[in-house]
Amino acid sequence: MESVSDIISQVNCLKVLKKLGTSIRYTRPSDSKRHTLSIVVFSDASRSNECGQIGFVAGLLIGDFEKDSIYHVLHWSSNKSRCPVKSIGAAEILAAGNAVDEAKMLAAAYTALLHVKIDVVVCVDCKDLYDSLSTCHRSADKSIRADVAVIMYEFETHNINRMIWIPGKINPADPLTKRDSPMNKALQLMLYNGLLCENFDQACVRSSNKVLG
Amino acid sequence: MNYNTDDSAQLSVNKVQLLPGVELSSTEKEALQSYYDQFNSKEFLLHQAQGLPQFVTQNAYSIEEINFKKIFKEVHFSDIPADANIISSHVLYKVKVNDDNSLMMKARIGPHGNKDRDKHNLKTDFALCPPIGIRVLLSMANMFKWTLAKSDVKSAFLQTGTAERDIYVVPPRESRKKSFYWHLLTAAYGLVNASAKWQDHSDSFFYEIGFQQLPYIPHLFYMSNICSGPVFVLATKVVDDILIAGDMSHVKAIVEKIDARFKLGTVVYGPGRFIYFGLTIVQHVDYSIVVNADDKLEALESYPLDRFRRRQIEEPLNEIELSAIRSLNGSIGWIGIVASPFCSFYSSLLQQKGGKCIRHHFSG
Repeated sequence: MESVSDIISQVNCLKVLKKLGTSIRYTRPSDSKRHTLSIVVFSDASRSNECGQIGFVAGLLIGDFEKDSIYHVLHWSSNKSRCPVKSIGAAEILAAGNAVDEAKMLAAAYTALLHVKIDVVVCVDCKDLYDSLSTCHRSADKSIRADVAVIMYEFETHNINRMIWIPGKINPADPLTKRDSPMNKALQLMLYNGLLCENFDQACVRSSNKVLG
Repeated sequence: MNYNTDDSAQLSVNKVQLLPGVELSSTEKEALQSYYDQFNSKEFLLHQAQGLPQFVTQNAYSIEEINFKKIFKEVHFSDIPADANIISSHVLYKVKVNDDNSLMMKARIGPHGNKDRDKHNLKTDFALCPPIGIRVLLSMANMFKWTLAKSDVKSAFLQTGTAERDIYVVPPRESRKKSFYWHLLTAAYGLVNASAKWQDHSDSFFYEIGFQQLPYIPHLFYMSNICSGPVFVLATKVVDDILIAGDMSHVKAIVEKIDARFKLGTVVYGPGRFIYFGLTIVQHVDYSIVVNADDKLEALESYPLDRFRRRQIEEPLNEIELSAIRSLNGSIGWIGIVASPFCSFYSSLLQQKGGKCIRHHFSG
């Protein structure tokens, strides 16, 4: 049953939201070169409740994963996981599944509009998921093996072109899964300027991941 | 109107005292501004007018009745068949903010569609363009340096062709003619299938002029060259509000075609500022586009708690508080869907916590 503490928490949340604002800006690259287009989704999950909070941010990347590339934020989601999960890795896999569905739909939409093949790139910060897809390692939580199999199928049929592992501290989907995320400012920057996080390109290069696909 | 020189005389609620040299229109503007400052754009019935001068609502009703007269035929109640489908009606008033920030009182005659005896046999659902469709349009407009144009169809539901059923409407109490009923010649606001009928009608018009609908995003229409070339015009439709993106020549041509078929309200071309789907969209001269719902977020106010009540942390909420907290959660959730990922997260969090919240879960 709701209590007075809920009103107090709502007051505090509203104060935070008014400081963060709601602006989204769409800009173009400053140069006149031709750029590649790809749909990039970032997914993340946390254990802020018993089922896990999962979220993703999806958008159109104009250019490659470089410092001055422009990112148009198109969609996001933050919700409680549809089923209880045994580990945070399992929640990450569910989040990636949702993100992949959204990315496929956006890629199909842009392909239909522009008549060019649009790549799909999924960025996750979960080693367990990355290893499940890139090695013979199987997920410890059997209940989500079906979700992993679906993502693997998307790779095999080339609906997803790349999956990149990124450190959690530069994942822009982080604010969608936890309060007081250190990535709040970075997500605001991405929304308002269309720029990826400062060290994004270096983190991708520096990380030991193999690029799948 | 009374010219009363006695300053101490009390005015009755709906009477307005005109000062010498002050015109009626400026008095109406002041009355509307004062009402809007208190109640915003909340819809109300006549008896809820909260002291608004009578002539303001009467003017609005007169304009609406003139528009409404185009879609019905007056029938004396003695000429109505015994088994006729008869429904009652009322008038809803609302203070509307125009694109140029001026205020206008709008009246809407609403037949009581819930009393339509055929309502269970009709298609009543209709689709809207989701926010992702609007963002795809804005992204494409920015990438290709397209001009944005926004327009709305005036009284859209009244422009859907002839009625397929015989429905008789009892006029609202504001109407002066009491022995006549209205036989509807077309669909009207309030009927359960009016939205679905408008959607079918407008969609088929869009197809006629060359648009195709994207299967992945409902109500995102595109126009491309005959030989399946890339798209050159995009449009989204949210009930009767249309947002178009393309080269200026293409956009103007499309607006002209729509205007030839449906009566449009104000058409706003970019660069400029639009209000669309509750969002403020600003297109700059360099074709960059900013979209936000900051005004909606700033307008949200939490339920005021006094000091004594704030100390009763674990006490359950009463009905008014519960209604207020849920309403605010819903408002934050709506902003989370259309404008802000942060609102999306906090809305999810607030709705989940519910009764399990304890005092220090959230710090200010």
